[in-house]
Formats: sequence, C-alpha cells, structure tokens
Amino acid sequence: MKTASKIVFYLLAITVLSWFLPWLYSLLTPEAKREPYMAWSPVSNSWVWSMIGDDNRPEIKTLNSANQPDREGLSREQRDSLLPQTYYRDLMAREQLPDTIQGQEVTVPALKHSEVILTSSPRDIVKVQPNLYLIMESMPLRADLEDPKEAMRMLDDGSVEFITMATGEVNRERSRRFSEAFRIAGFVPPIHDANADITARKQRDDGYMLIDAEGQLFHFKQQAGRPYLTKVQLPEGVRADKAYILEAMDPTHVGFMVDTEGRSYFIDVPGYRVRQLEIPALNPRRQRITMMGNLFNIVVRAQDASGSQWSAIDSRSLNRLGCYFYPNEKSAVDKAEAWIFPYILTFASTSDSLAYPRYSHWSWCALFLNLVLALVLLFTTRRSTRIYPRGAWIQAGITLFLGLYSFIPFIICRNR
Amino acid sequence: MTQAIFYKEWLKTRKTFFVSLAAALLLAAYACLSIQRIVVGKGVEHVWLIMLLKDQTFIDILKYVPLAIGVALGVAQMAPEMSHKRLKLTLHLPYPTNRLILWMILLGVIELSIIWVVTAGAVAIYQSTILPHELVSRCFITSLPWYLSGYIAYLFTASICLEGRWAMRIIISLVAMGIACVLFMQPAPEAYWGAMGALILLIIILLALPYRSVYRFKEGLQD
Repeated sequence: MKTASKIVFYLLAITVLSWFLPWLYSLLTPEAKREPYMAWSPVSNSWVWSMIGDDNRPEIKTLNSANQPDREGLSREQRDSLLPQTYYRDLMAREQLPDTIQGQEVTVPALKHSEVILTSSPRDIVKVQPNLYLIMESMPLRADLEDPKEAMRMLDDGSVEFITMATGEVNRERSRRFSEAFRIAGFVPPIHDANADITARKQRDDGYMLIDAEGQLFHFKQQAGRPYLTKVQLPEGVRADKAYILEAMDPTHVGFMVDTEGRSYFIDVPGYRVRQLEIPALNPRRQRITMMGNLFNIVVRAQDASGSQWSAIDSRSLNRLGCYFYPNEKSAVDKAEAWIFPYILTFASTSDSLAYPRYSHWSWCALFLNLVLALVLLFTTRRSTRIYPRGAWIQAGITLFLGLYSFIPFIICRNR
Repeated sequence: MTQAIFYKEWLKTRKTFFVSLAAALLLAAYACLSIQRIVVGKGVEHVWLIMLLKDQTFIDILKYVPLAIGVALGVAQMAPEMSHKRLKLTLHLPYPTNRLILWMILLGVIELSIIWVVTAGAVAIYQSTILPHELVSRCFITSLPWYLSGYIAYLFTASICLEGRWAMRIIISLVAMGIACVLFMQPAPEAYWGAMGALILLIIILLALPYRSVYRFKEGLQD
C-alpha cells in the first residue's frame, strides 16, 4: 500500500503537469494568427485575396492561375468592382453597379434573393444531444412564425411522441399521425442526425433535415399540424452523414448534405434533386465550414488545424471554379514547444463539446531535453548519496520518456 | 471497535455535515426557484427552449458547492487529528492501521454521498414536475462531475491535513487544484458522460493518497 500510494501520487502529479505546463506555455506565448479572406470574382474569374497586413492595413490582391498573389495590390474601390455580389451597396452608392455580369442581369433584389449562407462548427455537432426535437409550425394560421409549442421524441420502435411543452403531456393524436408518416416513409430509428433552425425570427420554416440509422435522408416539417416527411433519393451507394437545412431566400436549395465519404451535395426542390458539388472532401465533425453563395458563385471554406481550404463553384452548374489552400504554418513558438514537451495532454478541445483525456503531438525532439533532465536526476542523486540507488535509475528512466512532466515532481519531492 | 471508530468520526463531522446539507439544499432550492421564476414569467416552454437551444441547465449555482463541501468535510474530519498530534493516539489504537484509515475515509464518503443524493434528488424531483425525463437526466448527468469533484476535494483535503510537512502539503494542494480544474473545463451539458468511468476510477485511485500521508507521518516526516 505504501508503494502504491507513492506511485499514485507521482502519477497524479505527472498527469496534472502534462496538461498544465503546455497550457501555461501557450498562455505565456500568445500569437495572432492571420488568415486571408477569399472571394471569387465573377468579373475577373479569379480569387480575390484580402488580408490584414503587419501594419494593420488591408492587403488586397488577385490570385493568378497558379494561385499566387499578383504583385500589384488593389484599392478598395477596385476590389468592390471585382466583387459586386458582396459590395453592391457601395457600388450602388457610387453608381458603379454593372447592369450585367456573365450575361446575367444584376439587380439588388436578384443579388439579395440569391444569397445562401451556412456556418457549421464541430462544437455544435460533436456533443451529447437529447432525444428531443423542437417542432415549429411551418404553415402558421397567422403570417408570422411562432416559437415551437411541442417537442418530438423518437422511441426505439421508430414511433414518435409529441409532447406539449406547457403541460408535459403527450399529444396522442398527433403522435399517432406522425408515427404513421415515419413508418410509411421507411425511417429506420434512431435519428443519426437532425438539423433545423429553431427560431421565429425568419421568413419561413423548412423544418428538419433528418438522417436515419441507415444513412437515408429525409425532409421533415409540420404543416398545419400534419406531417410532411419526404425521403430524398440519394445516388446509389451514398450514405448521408450530416445534413443542413438552408432556409435561404431562394428556396431552390432546400438543404446541404455531406455523405460518409465527405462528398457534398445540394438538395434542390422541386423534386428533391441531389446535386454534387465539385469541392474537396468535407468533414463537418472536424472542420469548421462556412458557405457563402450568391448569384454567380458559391464559396466554401473548410477550416481545421492544418489550415483553410477555400473552394469556389459555379452557382448554376455547381462546377468547380477554383480552389485555394492556406496552410496553418507552425510558428517559432510551436516549434519550440516540440523541443520542450514530449507530448501534450488536454481534456477539452475547441473542436468538440466533450471532455476526455487526449494525448497529442508526441515529439521525438523533446528526447534531447529529456535525456539532459534524466542525467541531472542521476547526477544530483549521486552527489547526495555517492551511489546510484535503484530508485534513481527508475526515475531517470521515466524522465527519459516523460521529460519535464516527471522531472519536476521527482526533483521537488526528493527528501520531502 | 469499528462502531467506535465510526462514532468518533461522526462526532467530528456531524456539525459540518448538517451545515453542508442545509447549505446544499438551500442552493438547490434557489436553483429550482430561479427555474420557477422563468416558468411563471415566460412559461415552461421558455425553459425547454433555453435548455435545448442554448445548452443551459439552470443549476450552475450548484457547480462549486460539492467542491466546497468536500473541502469543509475533509478539514472538519482530519484537521483535529493533526492538532496536538492526536493522529499518533489514533494510530496506536489496537486496530489495523489500513482498516482504521479506510473506515475514517468511508464515513466521509458516506456523508458526502448522502448530501449529493439529497441535493440531486431535490433538484430532480422539482424538474420532473415540469420537464421530460430527457432534460431531467441531462441536468443530472451535467452535474455528476461536480459531485465527483466533491469526493476528489475531500480525499485531497484529507491527504493534505494528514500530511506532516508543509512543503508536501503545498505540493499536494497544487496537484489537487490541477485535478479539480479538469472537472470544470468543459461547460457543455453531459460533456463528461463519456469520461465518467475514468473519473470514478480516479476517485478509487485517490483513496490511496491519505494512506501516503499517514505512512509518511508514521515514518516521522513531520515539521
């Protein structure tokens, strides 16, 4: 018990230091990481690259066909002219908004009507979600939408229960009606993914995009108290993994879906056509995704620890216009970290809403420091006792692998 | 003898136990009343919406209560042992040392468990009158790491109090702060559900810490 309690103490100290020291290091060495803002110009058919420079002034450039920034920078006025879909208000004020671009008539209502915006964060996806889904009324009696009054839970047998929130009671009639709709649609429980925008502050409610246990995609909403549940016919061999309801002003793109292979699709009405986007694979569970669509093109940004992948596609054909990858390069601080710490222990992450121990960044570079620390442990032991006791060898051996994390408790707790 | 040990420990901790139980219940009542205020003002639907859309649980006021109670109970039980070296007398009782310490710690753990069950039960009973079982269990699971932090605080406090040297007390305190921080890092509901097994294992492992302090005391490592 005596030895066990001693081991427990050192294990705890090493665990705490494995988390605390890298955290302290990052706290003491803050860095400002800059990233460009990219937009695809329908005028020049090229990327427009904007970034705040070291002097806090914006650098605006176009990229050539090799994705290299042109030497000459652009003024803000030039940028506005290249990106009329974004800066049309400024162009209108200067009376410089062109009548047509790429053969398409350009009007402010048309530009506004074609806007599509989607943001997705892994933190909102990788988390524990209760089996309760707030249900709005998509066809309210009055013109304005109302906050949901009922929530739905799916039972193991695939039937659903509608709970009136005010009373907590199950609405038997509605539950029966919706259960029947789910059964007829062939929904396989449990719900793998559900996405909706639950708020009354929007123009219309398109309900939920639902994915069942077999990766089938469904569009689901409540209309006048009745179920609207449509199965979306996915291409052969495609299993949906994550779907989003878009609720853009233009109702054509009703949803956006990513399959298990990372391929992305728009779900278009009428007919629930599934149209693949020509962009690199996406992983919504690991990447922060931003999509901005307009009359001419759709720009998708997928951001993770390695960097940001920007993709532009044509709004009509969904064909690829261009891709640009901005790597998240390691700074001197990051490189120095690898020489100090053999690994990093964290319990929480910015890319999910879960807490559990995660080891990362095993660094062989830190072995040099570990070796020095191990020798210091041995040397200081010898000075005090004139021999190398077995414990000193064990401590030095552990320090060779764990470095600072074990060196600090071993050296501090010695003779205490 | 076992009964006598339990009685001795109960005499030391009963005041702290009842005060902690009352404080925890009062704060639980406050948490319930703050939910009730929303129910009266905006309707129970609003509580549902905030819990489901904003990831709120409305019981944040209870977050650090178990931690504080764990420390208080640990001090109340173990600090008297170290005043005037009474631990020496305790260790000279005709009873195996390991078992003696186990019973001492067990009583503290039982008292903490009673406080947790009563507090969590009171909150759950109130919530189940207005919320579905999914949301009641969500609140309970969210609060589980807070309750576990109470056990951790208690075991570390016991270890610190039984430790004979101030330098080692400070070191154990720093480790305790680090371990406790881990349980409050992720505020999202049910974030620790997947790590619950590891946390329970950690508490079982932590039972060894007070033993270490006692062994060191017996070896004469005192200031």
